[in-house]
Amino acid sequence: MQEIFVSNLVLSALLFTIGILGVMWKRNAISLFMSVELMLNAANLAFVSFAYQMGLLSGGILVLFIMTVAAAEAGVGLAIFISMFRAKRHIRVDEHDMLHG
Amino acid sequence: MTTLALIQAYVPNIHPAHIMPFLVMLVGAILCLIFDAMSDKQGSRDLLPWVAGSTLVATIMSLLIGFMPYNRLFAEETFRADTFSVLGSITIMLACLLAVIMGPALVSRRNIPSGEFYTLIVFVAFGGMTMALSNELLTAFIALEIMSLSLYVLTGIDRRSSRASEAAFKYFILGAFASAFLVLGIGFIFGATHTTHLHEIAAVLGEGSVDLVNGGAAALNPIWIFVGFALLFVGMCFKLSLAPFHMWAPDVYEGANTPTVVMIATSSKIAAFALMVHIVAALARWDLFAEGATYLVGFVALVSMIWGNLGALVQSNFKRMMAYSSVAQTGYMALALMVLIALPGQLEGAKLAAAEEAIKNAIVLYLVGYTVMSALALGIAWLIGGEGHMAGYRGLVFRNPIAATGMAVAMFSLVGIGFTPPTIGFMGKFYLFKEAVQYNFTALAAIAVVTSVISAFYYLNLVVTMFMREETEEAGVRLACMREQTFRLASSDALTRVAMASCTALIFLLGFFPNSLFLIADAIKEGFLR
Repeated sequence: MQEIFVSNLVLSALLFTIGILGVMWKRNAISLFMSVELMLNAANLAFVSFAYQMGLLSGGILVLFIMTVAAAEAGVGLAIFISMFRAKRHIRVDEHDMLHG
Repeated sequence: MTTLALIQAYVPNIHPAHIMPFLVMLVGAILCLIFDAMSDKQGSRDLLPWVAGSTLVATIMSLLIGFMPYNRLFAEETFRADTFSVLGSITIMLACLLAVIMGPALVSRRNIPSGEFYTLIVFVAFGGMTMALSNELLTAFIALEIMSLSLYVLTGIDRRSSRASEAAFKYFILGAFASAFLVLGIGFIFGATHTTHLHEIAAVLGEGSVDLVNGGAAALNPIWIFVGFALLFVGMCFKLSLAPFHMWAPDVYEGANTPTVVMIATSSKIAAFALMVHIVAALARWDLFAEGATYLVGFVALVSMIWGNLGALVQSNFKRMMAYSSVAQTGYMALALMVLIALPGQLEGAKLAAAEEAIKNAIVLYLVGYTVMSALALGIAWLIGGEGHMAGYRGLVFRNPIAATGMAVAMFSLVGIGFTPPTIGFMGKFYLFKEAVQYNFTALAAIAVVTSVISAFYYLNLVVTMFMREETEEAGVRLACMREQTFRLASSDALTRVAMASCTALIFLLGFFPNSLFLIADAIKEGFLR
């Protein structure tokens, strides 16, 4: 029981770190967004493993809410990518650089 | 009968009157969508500003009348209204109302779908108010997402502008990145304390142990709470544009349309600050936490004050300058937040409660003041078309003396220190720094004063540009062509001018009588109805 809990948290931490590194290194908008989703799901995994370990029902329900928010975020995000694509016909983020000081 | 009893057991115990402001907003937002669907293009452009505007006004009224119980948990312990959150909510509504007033000129010139535009503004206000009032971390997170998602769309709503799309993209990716931190932070705090309600978290921390489901109790694990708060704070720093997490702010301010910038600069910051103050109030009674968190928040405040002010010095674009200035101004407020965390280590009992109240009041006073000042600056820039390069302001006083004077008032008030005592900028900073000095953070307060003096260079530089520089052919052309770009609507402009005049009046009114703000809060506390 304890081992499963710890390994779940380690997995969650790993996924979260991979997500952060992805956001920093990837240069394609979709890959960036996938990394962000990875981070959100890592957080979800932490939530569920806490809930399972402590025997709390509420943790699982909270995850449902977070997944809904993530889905709404995906909807808005993809729409923004499309409008970026319309401007320049690609979504490589380092070439969308009109705004800088 | 049993079925009925079963249903009743699952229906939350919520008094409709308690959640009246939320209901008003939701009905208003839905009405916006329905009216948009029922009328043609021009009809919805004419009608929707009035629907959205009256929704916001009705919400302010329902907040003022005081339907909500004050200083008490309501709606299944999900919300809690206090001076900070109610005054904050009203200010959020007013900032969104300004965006609605500025809207028609933007909508007709850039050919923006008006249904989406006004509905999303109402949703920004809804999310902000819910966040400011919430006593539960997950509700706060969902409210924050409602607000942020609406702001991402509003940033990029001008689809023909590639700058707007780029700004929306940067805002979106960094905002989503920040919410992942926020969720993980909430997860760790939930894991440590077994609850997401702030008052229960405070109770658990007070006892030092958590009750387990199978009976018995476990010792509290401080590591989880530290890590949780650190992650949550990093997430909130992105939303508040505190350095070093402010990188999106200048680009978004520059690329987004000005009505949206008004909301990003004010509404989202008020809501996030209200949430931070509530979280800190729940956690700070635990002395182990207070020691560590003081350094964390203090560091962020320090970096924001220095980086924000130095960054603003080198900007030549008006909106980018306002973005860096907002980083610095939030830094001053984070300084007071740090004092709030450190306070339980220095005082006890009734004295502590009074001191906490004083600091919260100082923060909310400065938040309201900052809203008024930046609304005035951005609104005037919008009216004269001066949202671009600051060379356009050369000799503005000869062409448009009223606009130049209003902008000068905003700039003097934003400087705050030393020059013009009776403005809200001065009084707000005075109270913030006074609290910091009073509780032995003299060094940080001194840095805050020094950075305020640095900020005088760039704020007053604009005043000098407007009043003392010769009007050049080039400057006139610059502003004229910007004015052409942002075509004006007479009615929208007239209302915006009225709003700017009231902002100017408020700057001086709150500067002379800062306590008048809290008279309003006291009146709400009593309740005009109850």
